[in-house]
Amino acid sequence: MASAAVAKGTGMKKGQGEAHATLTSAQGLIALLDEDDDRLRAHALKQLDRVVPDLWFEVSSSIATIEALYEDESFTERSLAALLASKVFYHLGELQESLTYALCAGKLFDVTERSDYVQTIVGKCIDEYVKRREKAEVSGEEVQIDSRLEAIVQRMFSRCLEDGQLEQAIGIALDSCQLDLLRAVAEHGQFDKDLLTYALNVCKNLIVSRKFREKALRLMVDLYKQLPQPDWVVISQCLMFLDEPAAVAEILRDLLSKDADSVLLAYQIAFDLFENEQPQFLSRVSDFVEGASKAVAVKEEEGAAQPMDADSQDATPSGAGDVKQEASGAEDPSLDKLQSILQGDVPVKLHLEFLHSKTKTDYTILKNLKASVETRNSVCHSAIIFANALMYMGTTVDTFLREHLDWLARATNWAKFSATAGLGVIHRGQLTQGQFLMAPYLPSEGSSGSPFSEGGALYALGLMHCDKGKVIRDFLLQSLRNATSEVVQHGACLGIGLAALGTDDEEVFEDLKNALYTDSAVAGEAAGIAIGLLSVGTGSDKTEQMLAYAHDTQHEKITRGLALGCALISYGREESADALILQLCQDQNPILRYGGMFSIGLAYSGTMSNFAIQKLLHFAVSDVSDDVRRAAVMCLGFVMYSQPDQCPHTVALLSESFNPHVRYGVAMALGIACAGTGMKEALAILTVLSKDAVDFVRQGALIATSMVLLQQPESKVQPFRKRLDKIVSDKHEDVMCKMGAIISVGLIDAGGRNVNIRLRSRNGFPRLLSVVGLAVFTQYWYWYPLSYFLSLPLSPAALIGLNDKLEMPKFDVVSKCKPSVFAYAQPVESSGSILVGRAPTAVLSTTAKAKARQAKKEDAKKSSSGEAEKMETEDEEREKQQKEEEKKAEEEKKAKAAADATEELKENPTRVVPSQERHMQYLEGSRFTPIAGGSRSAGIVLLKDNEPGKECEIVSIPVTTEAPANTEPPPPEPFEFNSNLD
Amino acid sequence: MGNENAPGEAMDLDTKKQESTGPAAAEKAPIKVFDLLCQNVHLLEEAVHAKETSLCMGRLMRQTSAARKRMTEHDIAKLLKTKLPNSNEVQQTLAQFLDLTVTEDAKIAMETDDNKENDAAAEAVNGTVEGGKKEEKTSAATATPVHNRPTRASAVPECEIYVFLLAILKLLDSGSDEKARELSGTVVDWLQSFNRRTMDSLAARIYAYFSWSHERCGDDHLQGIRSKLLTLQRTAILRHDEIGQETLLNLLLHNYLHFSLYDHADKLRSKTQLTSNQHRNVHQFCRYLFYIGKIRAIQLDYTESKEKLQQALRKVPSGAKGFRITLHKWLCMVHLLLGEIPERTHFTTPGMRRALKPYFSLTQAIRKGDLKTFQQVAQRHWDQFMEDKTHNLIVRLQHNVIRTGLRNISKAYSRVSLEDVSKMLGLSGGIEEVECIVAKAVRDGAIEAKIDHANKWMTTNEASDIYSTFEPQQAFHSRIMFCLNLHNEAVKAMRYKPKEQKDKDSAEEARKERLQQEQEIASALEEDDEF
Repeated sequence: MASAAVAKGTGMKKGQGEAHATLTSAQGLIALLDEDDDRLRAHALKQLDRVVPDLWFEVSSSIATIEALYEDESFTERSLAALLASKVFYHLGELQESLTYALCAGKLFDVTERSDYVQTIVGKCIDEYVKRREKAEVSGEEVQIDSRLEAIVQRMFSRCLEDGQLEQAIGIALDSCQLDLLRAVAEHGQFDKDLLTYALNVCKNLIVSRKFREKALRLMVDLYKQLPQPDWVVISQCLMFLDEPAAVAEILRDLLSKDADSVLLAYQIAFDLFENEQPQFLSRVSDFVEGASKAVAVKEEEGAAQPMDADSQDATPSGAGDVKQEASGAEDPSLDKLQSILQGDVPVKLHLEFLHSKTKTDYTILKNLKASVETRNSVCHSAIIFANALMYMGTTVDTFLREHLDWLARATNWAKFSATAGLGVIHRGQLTQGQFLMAPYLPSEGSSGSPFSEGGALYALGLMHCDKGKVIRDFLLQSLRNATSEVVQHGACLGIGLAALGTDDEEVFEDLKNALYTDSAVAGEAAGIAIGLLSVGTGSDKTEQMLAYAHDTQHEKITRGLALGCALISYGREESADALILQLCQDQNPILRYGGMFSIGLAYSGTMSNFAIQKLLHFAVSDVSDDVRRAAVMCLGFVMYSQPDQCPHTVALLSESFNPHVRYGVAMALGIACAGTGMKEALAILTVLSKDAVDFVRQGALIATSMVLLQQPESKVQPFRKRLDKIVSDKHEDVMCKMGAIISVGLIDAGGRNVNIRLRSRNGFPRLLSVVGLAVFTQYWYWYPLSYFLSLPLSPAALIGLNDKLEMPKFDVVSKCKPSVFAYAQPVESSGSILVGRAPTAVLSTTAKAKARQAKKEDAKKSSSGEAEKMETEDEEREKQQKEEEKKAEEEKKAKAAADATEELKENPTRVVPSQERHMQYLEGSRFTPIAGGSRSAGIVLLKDNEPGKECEIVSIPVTTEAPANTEPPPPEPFEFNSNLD
Repeated sequence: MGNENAPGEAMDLDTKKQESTGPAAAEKAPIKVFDLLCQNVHLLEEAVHAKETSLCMGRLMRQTSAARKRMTEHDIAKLLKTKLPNSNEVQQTLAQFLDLTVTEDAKIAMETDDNKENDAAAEAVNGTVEGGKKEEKTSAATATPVHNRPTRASAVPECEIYVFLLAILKLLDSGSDEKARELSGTVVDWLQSFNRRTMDSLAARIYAYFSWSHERCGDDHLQGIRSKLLTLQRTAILRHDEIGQETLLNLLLHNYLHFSLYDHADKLRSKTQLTSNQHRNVHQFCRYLFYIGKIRAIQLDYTESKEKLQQALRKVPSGAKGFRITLHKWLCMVHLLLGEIPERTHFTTPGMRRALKPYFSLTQAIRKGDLKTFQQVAQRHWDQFMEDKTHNLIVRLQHNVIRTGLRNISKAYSRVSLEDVSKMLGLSGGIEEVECIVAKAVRDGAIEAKIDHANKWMTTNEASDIYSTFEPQQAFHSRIMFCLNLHNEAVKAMRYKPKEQKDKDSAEEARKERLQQEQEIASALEEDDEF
């Protein structure tokens, strides 16, 4: 029957044969393939090749014959058979086979043809090639690659070059791991700057293998150097990633020795490097700069052949400091300045000045918090103290604590420890006066204070000097050795860990190890974390000792501390941490697996590595321990913060998990990955989670929401503030959730509403301090004092302009946007929020009548006597309202005027929130212009003075150690108490 | 566009649906056409923005078909002006086919029209409407203010294609097939320049009308686009355009079957692999099953054919009447060929009785086993069968008629001469032929009998107790299998409802409940304090 139908079809075709000249059936041609004569077969092949797009399904049933024809060595048209086979396989969807035969077809396969078939196969070809090259690159051994394959890729590559599609060519080059091709592209493009920027971005963000990324970046540095005007800022950033302090130092020295502009540029580079928060790298750069200058000096002096340069290269940071002081007398001032930037003195001072002068914290918020929370509840009590610390972080304003000493005194034991540590957060960056400030609480000889406040004070010193702890190191070490109480040891361990962050100091390590081996749970935990902080990101082999002890000890706290320490050590190591990760993840002890999750998160932080995400997701759904699952989800945030927009949909499904720990993890992951972005998708998930049935999930969601909403326009934040207010004042709300709300209140206004969380620097490199800070902060789950680590990732969202003397000149920038959009939040009306919750008192009709009568009387009295002696509460309120209305009207007027403006002048230094950055513009024709291009609109910016000779005004901000008097509220107006009320 | 003209007409199931309820809907004329169209564009825009057009397609096409009857060229022109002011190319292309000038008169006329319609709308909303329609209206009422805003840039290409689709519909409705053919050809070429997944669903519709307009212009054209369809299908596969793959495969099958190229169709079907094993679109799946059923019937594989056709019948949307009738016809044929008698209810379904009349008489003839009646019926309705393309199968049925007759005879007589059999069956051939036929029937198990060759008669065996055989068991088994299959298919067809909304609600509710409980406990405690 079927053949009859075909016959009929062919019959029909004959009528229209001339019109379409197509075959309805290929059966005849296929039959020809079985002929003996080569010419017949070749003819059949040719015809089939023509009709194959329309009749492939018929041809495909005799594919074996065609394949046999290709195999037949004696057949002359073998390549034609291969081409036909390739096309048939293509139609059947077997692209791999199709590619194989296309390669066999040789010249008959024409890559220039613009058909779907050719394009698909060429695409497949490139994929295949890339896959093999990558394999070769990863395994390091030679992989045999089909030369025909290579030829096709080469042809495509050269076609890209000819057509000017250089970005595609870069893609091919980098995908197939061929750096010489990349160089060829750059040369072809005559080192076009945009092209190089594109290539650099691809190198930084899209290359998975760290080894190859380093190679590629090294090449990029080379390429950048060949520009007529090398972009030193970019180059030095790359070198930082490659960990080559010597080369950076050389660039800096080079620039210093040139004209004034170059000196400014050198400063700018130094500030940028500082922003990346790689303390270890910076101190080494500083050593190299010093060493080199010393060497020059030595040569000039000739006779004095001290082996100084060799020394200073190996010198410990403190040693370098000494050297610097010696050298500074002889050297030029610019080098000095550079050193002070690299060692962090200048930027820290600038940030401190900025935060101190621009603090906009609303004192009333804290008061309301304090009033609305029951004092007996110690959890909320210490949460408020923490919120206070966050709000005044780095501003040196401790008015609240001073004014409520009685209330503060309710904090006992560990709460006292935390409260004292809070002082360190408030005074963060007071490098010179830290010890003086904390003196009343510090352990001193003879007098024995409470160990909790002593320990807290040591921790506070650590927080204050975080990663710039040269000055305080010896003191803390001494305190650690002298400590007898485990509480003091705990504080000292954390303090020294923070102060010596990333220095890998052997002496400190020994002492910490001693503290660890006392096998005291409290001290041991801190020691474990501190070791991690000490060697953060070094990937040193200390982990072996740590793991061994973690297995030995009976204390879970110590195990956890050590596990986290190991995670910290593997920070940013990517593939080289795999061994450790594997070991931790396969451990039987859930606490060590918990550490394993963090080591994945930190080792691959900000890489978007598929491997890490896969592994974390696997643990998130399959581990038996809730803690591990929570940590796994949380760490997704660390891996994904470089592309925050990817995070919400990755965790969306997990947010519906039945397991509350996983849901909590989702909240934190979103908070970490999307911090400071205000991303809608993240907020949508968090809003659902903040209504969760489980209290700690709500807690996490609230904290995460405030992280996401940091430094967002007030219109976005306002509803969230209201919600927090409601939660805090709600009597029936769970304590856990309340605590989260209180912390959120503190966080959202942190640092006087001037700080933001940024896990990546503006150049796209991860910031060590911030990431580490957040990672340790998340341990507050087990140990509240660790929540103070949240101050580490908070950095000022500021635009600070500096001149060549590193002073802030008076200078304006324009924000091309309505001022109201990015304005600070309006201050809260005092005690407003508490009254909201209260139900109005029922008023009996009789009382109302009586009152009305009274009021009438009074009115009459008032009008007669003209005095307002007997003010009733009602009247008072009325008056107040009136006043308020007036005030409001005034404000509205102002606001209207402001609303009409579409731009705003901002004085140096100023707050610039992330979403505002693209609206910022430098005034044209202004005296100062940024040295590194006008696109840089936040952070510390070096300004070029276009009218050098002229005098310029300098903004000066004195930072006193005393609480500034003007922040105190004025005393209440004098009033007379009148008991003469009816 | 009669409903009877099934295979071709079944092309767009949605339209069918509209037409069946057509007259009633048109009279009520709830919303003015232009608003409806604007609202559709808005719907599309939102869907494109959310990167999910396949879900809204059903609604979009439903609403379009609501507007289709009343839509004028001016509506399209106005839509183009307001929604796509910058698409000059589209305007130029369309201007060749439609009158795009919006004159003032026309505008005024339209306005007055609209007013009338608005008055009618109020009543209509309260009227008895089906679920789907109701939803449209309420959404229309809410979505009015977005009208005069041009489409956002991200959705422009989709909206352009939508306007093209409207134009093609208009041309087809007004009977200018040639123009529709040319325009659809242009649009298909235009579609090739895009590679957007949000466009797939719309593109699939365009392909369908592309093929349909060519079919209306004659067989030549339909055959001419075969190669084009194949290319499009290949592209769709490479781009993972699932709805496109499904639609194009069906169009190709239709194309081949139209020219009775059953072998081609079957080969193409077996060699084409869909990216996902499951069909996404139930309409397309339904048609696919129908085509397989047809192919299998021609290939003598009646059992599978019946299975596929039944499955298709189950999935067919309630509105697609023409398609349903065609399915019934084929199913009836397959039943008969299998030696089964279709149930009477098949033919008595309201609205189908007339269309199925020839098949009903055919069934009656076969039931009787009366060859003469059968031949008469076949003769009488031959044209109809030719049109339905079932004539091939009718020829095959003759055999079944004889067999049924034989069975009747074997029941009535314990012994009968072959000559009598020949007479009773009305066979024209000699004794030998009857002998052969009876022998075959015995061998196939249709009757239990013996042939006495010497005496030329047929002896019927004693009817054995059927319950002692495996027959009941087998029948039972087949029914169970049928039920299980039905269940499995139902399970497979189940979909989760959109989860987000549900979750939000439940979370909110749970929280409220919890708070309430807490308050109760708290108040209980306070009471305790008092005592």
